[in-house]
Amino acid sequence: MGLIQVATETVSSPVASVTLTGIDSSDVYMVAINNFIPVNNDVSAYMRITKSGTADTTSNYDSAYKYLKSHTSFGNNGDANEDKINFGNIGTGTSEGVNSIINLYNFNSSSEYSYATQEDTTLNSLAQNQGKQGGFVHTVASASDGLFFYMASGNIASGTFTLYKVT
Amino acid sequence: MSNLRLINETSTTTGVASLSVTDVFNADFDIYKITFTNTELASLDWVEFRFINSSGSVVTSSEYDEAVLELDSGGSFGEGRETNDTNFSRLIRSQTTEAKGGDVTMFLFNPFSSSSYTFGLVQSFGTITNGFGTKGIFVLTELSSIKGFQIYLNGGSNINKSTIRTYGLRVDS
Repeated sequence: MGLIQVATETVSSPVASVTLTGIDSSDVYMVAINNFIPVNNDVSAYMRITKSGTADTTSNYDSAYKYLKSHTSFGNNGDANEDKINFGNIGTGTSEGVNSIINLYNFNSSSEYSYATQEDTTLNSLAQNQGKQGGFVHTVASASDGLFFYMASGNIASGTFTLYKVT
Repeated sequence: MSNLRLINETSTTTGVASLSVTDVFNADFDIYKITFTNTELASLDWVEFRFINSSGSVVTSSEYDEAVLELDSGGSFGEGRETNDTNFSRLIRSQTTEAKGGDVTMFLFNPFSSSSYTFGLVQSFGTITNGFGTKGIFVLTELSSIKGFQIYLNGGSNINKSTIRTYGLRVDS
């Protein structure tokens, strides 16, 4: 397997959002997220897909995860017809952020839904290790070209977000 | 050129009590992909994992947290959880013959950074009586620079065979 970098953004001073675009083929794409950390404590980290570079805010996101937690029993986390994907609450303590690998399928297709598999390892706002294992679908048959990341409130403090084409 | 760069390949074909991979993490990469293939053991056991710091010492402090979903094709699924443990204790559970040797794919985040904890994502599949896999996460909550790692068996017997490949995910700014 090879990876060809398509886009990357490193946040070193606070920004409201990060957009990665450049999906323009039927290949599988992979997004690597490293140290996605908020300015505000105990806020949810969110993601949307982009259509022509703009985040899609319609309620067409279905997601299902096994929620792995080091400190308590695992959970099942399913949501249908949401307007975003939620990584969970993170904070401002040391490394209280999201690290994730997301594989993207059919994003460039105008006749198929956009699918993704996702695996996260995070430290939540109570410094507990947890992470989602599962995926999501955007149930609109139109082309998507990337992902958009933001916080429930306040800015993104730091993070590196990289989009690769899988070859 | 691929942004997935092979850094190191380490293997054993003879029985060893532990297998270490050293000096593979550096400032060139923040995220690493590691594969373990054909991991054949001297006894049915869990393979455990520890980091090696920049001084070359195995990190045995009680600062490993983990959560592992255990997928047993011949039985019920289980939850493996630890906090403040001295290792990541569920890399793969596998068997004693070559045909039943298991395989793992792992991603590591920020091992070399001394200002961030080190996080892991793991998927494995091996064989006990039936096929047995895991999907897991872990973190080392220690602000130290990590340069390598070591695997060994919970029960102390040998690793007969394994090939470990470490790749870096290059980010070109």
